[in-house]
Amino acid sequence: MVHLYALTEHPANLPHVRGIGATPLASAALGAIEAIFSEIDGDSAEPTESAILAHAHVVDEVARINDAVLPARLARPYENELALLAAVRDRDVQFRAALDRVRGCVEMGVRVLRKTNGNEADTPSGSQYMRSRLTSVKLAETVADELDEAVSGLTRDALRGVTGTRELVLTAAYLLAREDGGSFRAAVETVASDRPDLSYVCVGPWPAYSFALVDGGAS
Amino acid sequence: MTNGSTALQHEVTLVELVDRVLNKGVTLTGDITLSVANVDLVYVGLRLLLASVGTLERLEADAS
Repeated sequence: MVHLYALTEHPANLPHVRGIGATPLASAALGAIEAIFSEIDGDSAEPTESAILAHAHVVDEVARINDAVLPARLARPYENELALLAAVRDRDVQFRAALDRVRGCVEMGVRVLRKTNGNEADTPSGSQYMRSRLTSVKLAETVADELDEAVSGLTRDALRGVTGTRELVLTAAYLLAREDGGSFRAAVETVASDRPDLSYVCVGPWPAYSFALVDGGAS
Repeated sequence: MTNGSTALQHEVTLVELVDRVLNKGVTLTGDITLSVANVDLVYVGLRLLLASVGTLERLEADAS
């Protein structure tokens, strides 16, 4: 069975690391696209902690030495290399466009949390709950707009997940040039300083997992 | 950082990583993804993070 780690551009730089189950990495090109994969036992594709860590490590290393990388999701493996390449061929145009979009970029995330005092009622009435939900969702949208505006000069794409729950206000993912990570963090800190009731947590940088979705939109 | 909060931070990092690897990233055919029982993993991570922040603040308060 063949497990895919990432799609990148041909000619690819192959990192000197091993994949799931310590299998050696290989690559195969299809026109301008190169797939990085390894031959694994069927069982080792199960999403165990070691498989997840091995997959993520390979993606990190591929992204470190290649400019345009689409990280693959840990999914069921392909029967063989030909089946993998056939799947790439089916969406060749979309993958090339996605590679152009992420070239030279990393992903950073922002998680916005509400600083709770622990005194909130646990079982509000139905109408209280609906009012508080509405307020929470409006706050989340305002916070998301403020954040988007503050980092818009640095970012190339953005995805937001407005949750508006009691603790978690917002999760957002941004695509930005590799060298702009420091400026991005500074911009988020500036927004955070105007919102003392909320905690802003920057996560990343990591390869552009959220922006590799060729169909667009976060899952 | 204390050992406790370091361990929680490690858990948060791992949860975020699991979320990326299983829920984000490109899929070639779209119908072959694995899932962790529809759990919102980032939310789980943030619950851990909140616990981590709470632990840290309590420890700092105890120490002062």
